[in-house]
Amino acid sequence: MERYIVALILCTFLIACQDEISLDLPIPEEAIVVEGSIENDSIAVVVLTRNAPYFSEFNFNDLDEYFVKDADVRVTDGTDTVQLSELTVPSSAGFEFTVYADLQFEMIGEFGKTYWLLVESDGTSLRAKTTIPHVQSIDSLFYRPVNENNDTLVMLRAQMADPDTLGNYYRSFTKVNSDLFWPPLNSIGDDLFINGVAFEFPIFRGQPRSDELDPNTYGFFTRGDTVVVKFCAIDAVHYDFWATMEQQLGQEGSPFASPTEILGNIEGGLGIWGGYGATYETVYIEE
Amino acid sequence: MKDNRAFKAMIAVLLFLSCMLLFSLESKAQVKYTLSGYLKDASSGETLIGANVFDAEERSFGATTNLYGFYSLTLPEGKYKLEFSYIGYESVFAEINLVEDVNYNLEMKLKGFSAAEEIVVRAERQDENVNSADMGKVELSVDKIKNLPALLGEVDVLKTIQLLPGVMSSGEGNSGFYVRGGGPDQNLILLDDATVFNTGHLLGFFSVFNADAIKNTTLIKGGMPAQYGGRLSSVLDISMKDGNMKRFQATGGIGLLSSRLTLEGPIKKEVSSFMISGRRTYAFELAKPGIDRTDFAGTSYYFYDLNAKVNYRFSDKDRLYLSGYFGRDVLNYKFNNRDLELRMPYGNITTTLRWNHLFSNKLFMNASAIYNDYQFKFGFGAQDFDFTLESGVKDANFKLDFDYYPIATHKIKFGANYTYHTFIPNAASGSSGEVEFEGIENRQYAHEFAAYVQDEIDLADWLKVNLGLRWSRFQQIGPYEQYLYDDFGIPRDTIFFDRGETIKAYQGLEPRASARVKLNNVSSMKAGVSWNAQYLHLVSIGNTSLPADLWLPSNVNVEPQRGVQYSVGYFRNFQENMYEASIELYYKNMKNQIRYAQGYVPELGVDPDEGFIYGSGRSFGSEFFLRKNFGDLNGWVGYTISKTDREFEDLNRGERFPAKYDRTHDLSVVLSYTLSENWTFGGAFVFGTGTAFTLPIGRYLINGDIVYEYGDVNSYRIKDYHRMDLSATWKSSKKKRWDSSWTFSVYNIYNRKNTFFIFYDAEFSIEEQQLNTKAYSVALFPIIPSVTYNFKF
Repeated sequence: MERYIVALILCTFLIACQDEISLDLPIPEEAIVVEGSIENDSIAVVVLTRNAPYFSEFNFNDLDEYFVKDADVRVTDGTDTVQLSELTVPSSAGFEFTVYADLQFEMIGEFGKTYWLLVESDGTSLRAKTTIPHVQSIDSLFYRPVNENNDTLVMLRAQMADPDTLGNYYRSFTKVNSDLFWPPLNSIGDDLFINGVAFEFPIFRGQPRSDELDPNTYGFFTRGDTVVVKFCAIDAVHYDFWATMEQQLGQEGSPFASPTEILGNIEGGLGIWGGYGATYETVYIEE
Repeated sequence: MKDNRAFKAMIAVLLFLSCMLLFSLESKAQVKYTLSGYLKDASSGETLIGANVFDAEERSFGATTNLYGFYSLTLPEGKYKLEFSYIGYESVFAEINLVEDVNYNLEMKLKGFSAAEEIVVRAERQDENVNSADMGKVELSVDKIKNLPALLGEVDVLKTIQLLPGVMSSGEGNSGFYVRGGGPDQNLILLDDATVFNTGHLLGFFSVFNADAIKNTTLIKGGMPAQYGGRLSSVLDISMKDGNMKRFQATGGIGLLSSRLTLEGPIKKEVSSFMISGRRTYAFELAKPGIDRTDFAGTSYYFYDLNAKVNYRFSDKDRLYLSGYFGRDVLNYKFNNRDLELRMPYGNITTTLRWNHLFSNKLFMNASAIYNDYQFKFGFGAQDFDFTLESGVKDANFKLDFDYYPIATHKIKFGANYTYHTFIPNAASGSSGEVEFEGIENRQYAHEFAAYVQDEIDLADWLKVNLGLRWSRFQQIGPYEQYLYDDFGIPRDTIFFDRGETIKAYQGLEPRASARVKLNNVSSMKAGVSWNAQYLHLVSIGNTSLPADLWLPSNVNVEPQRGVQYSVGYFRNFQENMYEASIELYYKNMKNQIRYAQGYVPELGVDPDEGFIYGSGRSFGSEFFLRKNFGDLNGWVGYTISKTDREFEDLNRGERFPAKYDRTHDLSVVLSYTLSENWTFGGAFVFGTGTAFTLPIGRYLINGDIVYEYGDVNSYRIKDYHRMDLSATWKSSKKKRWDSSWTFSVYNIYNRKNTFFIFYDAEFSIEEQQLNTKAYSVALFPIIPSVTYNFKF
């Protein structure tokens, strides 16, 4: 919140002036970036990419080099191990993604289980561990007008009872009509502050960060929308990843912010291998 | 280990010298009498701090007035020709026939305009630079800094201090300061003996010290005397005006940002007086009608200060002072479209009650009862959700200080101090509709004790030493709930401590010593060493000092900061003290430095201690200072070359990195020129090596978002900082009842775009089929002219 205050004060009092500059920076060590997840009743999906010097050129034609191909990607639950298949998915922008997935449906995520990810690529070995925690379902989902004068926008509210034991971590996503599931800008929460309490909280509409943020409408839904809320329990390490990443992105451009290093869980690489204990709730917002 | 050996050696030396001292006091059984009294300003009756009394012929002995204007000199029976001097005042010569104890109070007159001693930083006795055993000590007389240029015309003692060598600004336009590589929490900032925990208004751009209410400011940046403690780096001791004892007086000013009014005068002439001073901003109020027509109606910001003081002189032996400060910043932000509200009130309260008592003309006592309270609150509301975060620190403090002047060659100070601390580290509470939440509040309480003794001894004409020993003890006490966390930072168990129960105690001896060897009448060498313990820590989540920074005690998890500083210097005056120069070298070592880990995300409901990492720091450098004391043109040049780094096992792969306080080169040039009775000009130029920054060096994508990979800690330097400010002051001719002046000031006259921070921007361009990444440098203050009108009647 501090950054809003700071921004407000700076805008009000000061005439800041900005100039483009060029920086001479060291080259970061080459690393493989993992974006992988496994959810209850679903299969493991992993995307492997590479990091790059911040100001290096990146052309969409270079995507072949950006995605890590021909890697050996396995998931094990300690008893069974599956190898994920590499597949190429075309995107709407005209280029292709490389994804690794358990297309044979050999290992379906189960609540309470631990899953290890093992990756071998060109002599680089990566390893990570996650769990799929049990999730407390949302008790009810409802909406109300944003304010008295607004008859098109509504805010979504949920009610739930946090379990009595400390150490529950949550992440939420929303899907509006036929769009994809997107997390809101702050998608995570924990129960250190609200342990064991039955409480009501807002569910913000998720959106890609690249979409323009309109402070007048951010997080709200429109009458006539059908909204699916994906509410997930995640483990502590998984939570730390999104907490640090969202903090880093959230304070981008703030003069007072100190650097937030993203805490991943990949031994030998960057990124996250995360388990989701997910529940889905749907609500239709009447016109 | 080296420090440890030096520390033990120091204790041995102190014990030996105390024996010597006892011997010397006993053996000199000559008939002696004491000359003592108070030195005051003739027009206002304000006591003069740091004024001098000395042998006018030989300059072989002397005394300096203490914080309350008192001096005492015990000399063998005889006739003496004495000079009483104070910069800016006409010296008084007196012949004293000391055949009995003499009480000699003196009112000194300000010099007329032609004396042209409009020096900004006041030298003490004119050759004090060479003569005293003090190192790294500077006094500032506020009246004199008003001619210097100031940002938006707000005269600020803290910003003037930053122009001295070894003292650095904590950021563009910021009143926060770092001394010799120490953090902002390592400065002990006292206002009439009360600790001020937050010195900045408006995110630190303006200090809380209203120049109109201040009499005197002393900065000690090295060789801290034993009477001060609890901080590693420096002491800034600020005294409020006592109030005019002779006549009613009003002083005020109207500036672009704020206005000030100070009223002072006698309650009973020569016996009792008062001073009350207020300052308030109004810049935002001017914009309010415009804001209230937008979605942000109800948004407001202001700050204000109130200083007040009364004193009563019961007799020549007893005087009582009561003073207080109250200041607040209040920000309310509203965004009515979303029914969203932010509230951020914060500020300090201090109250000091002091009793001066003269047991005899050799023994002066000051007893103080002090209360200070710093509170920060942050509130957030959206629809029926409300959330408040509160932090702060409160102290109740009792102090006894004695000044004992047994013979002219010894000036002894001793005393004791007790503080009861209450810390509120981020107490969170909230509500959502009907449901209320309470996070871990977990206030922390502590006793802090200290006792000290120090003696300034003239061992020979050429050798003066100042020896001191301080003992301090810090005790964290209950009630307290100590949470035991698992590997994921989740509190799994709790240990309860009852009220008053000791949870953890730390203590230690802090020896201090300095010596001056006079090489000849115009030059001397000095050396000093001081061990300091600091039981308080300030942790900042941001990159710079903010009001939300947390003050925390040493406790069961966090050990006290400990530091040792060695310094040595050469001091020389030229042309009959017209110029004074010094070179000081210092080395400082700091243990138990704390900060948040780089992946720290503030977490409600968890002790802040959980996010800390621990390390050490060191700092060394040389300071060069050349000052011209008299003449129409006066001022100084200060230059520092230094290095400051930190080492944390859990940061930067355990490798040493430059501290954010590291500035290799730091130069200040300050000049003041008196053209005529009406016109005075001021100018300041500063240059500093760019601040060390941590910048992202790599990028990767997560869920389509570009995230950063950071480089080594503080491995990047922003471009060098430099700036020039100018001012011109027009004063009405004196002899008028209504005295007024106009100060025209220009900040950053050549409009240098100094980098305040750097940010990155990245965008996928579908048209260009590529990612565009850019870096921007943001400069904060362009050229800013201002005008201030000041009056006095």
